[in-house]
Amino acid sequence: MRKLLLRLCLILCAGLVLLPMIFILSNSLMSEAEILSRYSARILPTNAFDLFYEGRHFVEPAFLPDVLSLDQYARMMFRQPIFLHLYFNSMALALPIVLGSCLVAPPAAYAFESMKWRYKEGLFFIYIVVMLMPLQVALVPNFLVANWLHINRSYLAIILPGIFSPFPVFLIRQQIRSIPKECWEAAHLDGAAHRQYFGYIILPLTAPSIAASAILMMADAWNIVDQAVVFIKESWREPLSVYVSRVISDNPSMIFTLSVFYVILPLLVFLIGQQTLVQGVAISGLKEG
Amino acid sequence: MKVTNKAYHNRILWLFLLPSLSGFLMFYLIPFLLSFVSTVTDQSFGRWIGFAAYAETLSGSSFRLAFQNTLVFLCLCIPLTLTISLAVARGLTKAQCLGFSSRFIDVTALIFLMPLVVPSGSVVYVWETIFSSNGLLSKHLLSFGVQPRSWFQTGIALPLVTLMFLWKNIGYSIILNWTGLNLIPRSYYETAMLEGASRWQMLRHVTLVYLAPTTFVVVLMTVVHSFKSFREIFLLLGAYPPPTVYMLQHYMSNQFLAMDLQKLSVSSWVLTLLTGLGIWIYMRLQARVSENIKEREKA
Repeated sequence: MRKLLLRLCLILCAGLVLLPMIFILSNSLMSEAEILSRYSARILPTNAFDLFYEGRHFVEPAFLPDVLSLDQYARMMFRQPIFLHLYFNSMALALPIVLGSCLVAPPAAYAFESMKWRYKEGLFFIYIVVMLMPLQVALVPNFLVANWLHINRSYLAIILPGIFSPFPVFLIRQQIRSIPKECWEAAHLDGAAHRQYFGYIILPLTAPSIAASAILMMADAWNIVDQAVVFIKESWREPLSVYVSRVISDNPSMIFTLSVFYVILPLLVFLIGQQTLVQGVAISGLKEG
Repeated sequence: MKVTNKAYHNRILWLFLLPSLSGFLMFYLIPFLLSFVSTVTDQSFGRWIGFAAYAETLSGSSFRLAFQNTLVFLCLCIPLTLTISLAVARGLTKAQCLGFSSRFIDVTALIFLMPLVVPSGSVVYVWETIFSSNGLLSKHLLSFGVQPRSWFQTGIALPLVTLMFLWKNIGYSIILNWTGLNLIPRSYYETAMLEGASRWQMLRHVTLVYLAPTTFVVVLMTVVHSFKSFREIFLLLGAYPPPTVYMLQHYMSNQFLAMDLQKLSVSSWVLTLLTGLGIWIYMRLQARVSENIKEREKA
């Protein structure tokens, strides 16, 4: 009995969380006419029988389309291929950030854990504080440096700060903490230097948190909006995330399909890395092993 | 035979640290320190004016409103996230105990994490469908005689925003708490039960105590996510939202658009110093709790 109750509770919670996503998915299969008639505030011939008040039509959302239609998908992929281009823009932003941070952060995390320096913890504290700061705080320094380096119109102005973000260093260091010091002593006795110890022992052991930080940085980079708005002025160079925010005013019926299109890549990454993600996120909560 | 002295080791480790540190210095720390100069000089890097800019900004009404709202928002989000995610995580560990299939548990955990990937624009659209003036809530309340209105413009704007935040970010804390709970050895609970502790006492003296390191990370990440939620609020309500949801990030973003570097830098520094202070205090408390735990474990 208790098992059933618990199962129901968990399914209910998961269902609540999943509801908006199912809504978006099913609505993306509606035709443009249906979406407009359902969600528009204007009274159209097709929604004249719905409820309305003072000339404004109430939304009639539904989880099942009246008519299944791939019209929106066709429109997005064939008739208006700009979206594919924006997709590649997003990739051009996200991929370097993920790869770069995976190259830069693990050695730094290892150094933070093994180094003996008076101001080490102070520096790490500054890393944490910078990690906590909202985007707007980092945006001004980034803008100034980008101006100085004359990269303030290119993707580099977004990519470079992303690569050097303190978040992966924090995440990976938390996992390295759980590896006992005796391991290093033993390896060192056998003649290993930091290079070998890092490459043969630390890297394989911290693979979960490196993968998790890659996945989380990807999800973050895929959603970049503010920096892109500041640095990229041409509309054909902006990433998809910025366009999704604007599509409601341009092309309201496309919002669902665009969202599905947008979500597919990070979702796939999530699904593939699901085990490592859960492991890696979990390990960041550990202090000692 | 390799050289083994400490200095050599540290030098090698500096090489490990160098890429990250140099990037961090160049793109984050040094420009940020430079922005401090603009807060104490006139017209950005002119003559020295001391802390007059700080006084002027801190006494400004919009700054105060933004600061107050951000604080209220944090005070809402952090406890709610902690309690709800702990409850769900407890459900997950209970499910593991009771022998649910690990596939079921993993899928559930993944579902909780999924909202992190959904774009802000879509989330905003869904919430608007429910809470705008021609949305679901207005529609159903019409039969009760309530005037349709945009619920985001009313007094419940802040709770709505909190709800949006919780939906998106609770998965992360659930996973953190779940693993933290799994790390507490069962023998601790069994000992407590033998000594006649009630469920409530077990929660207070075993769970919360040994969960302290995890709770630290949960609080940290909740603060990070709450700052990030600015994007949804911005998409929903624009640059000048209703008074209850006007946050520090709105203030800073507007200053950025107005190119008022000084006010922007001042607010950044105030925010950084206060957050730094808060985290430092928390870290000290956290260290003390860890020491207590270690001593207790030795005894």
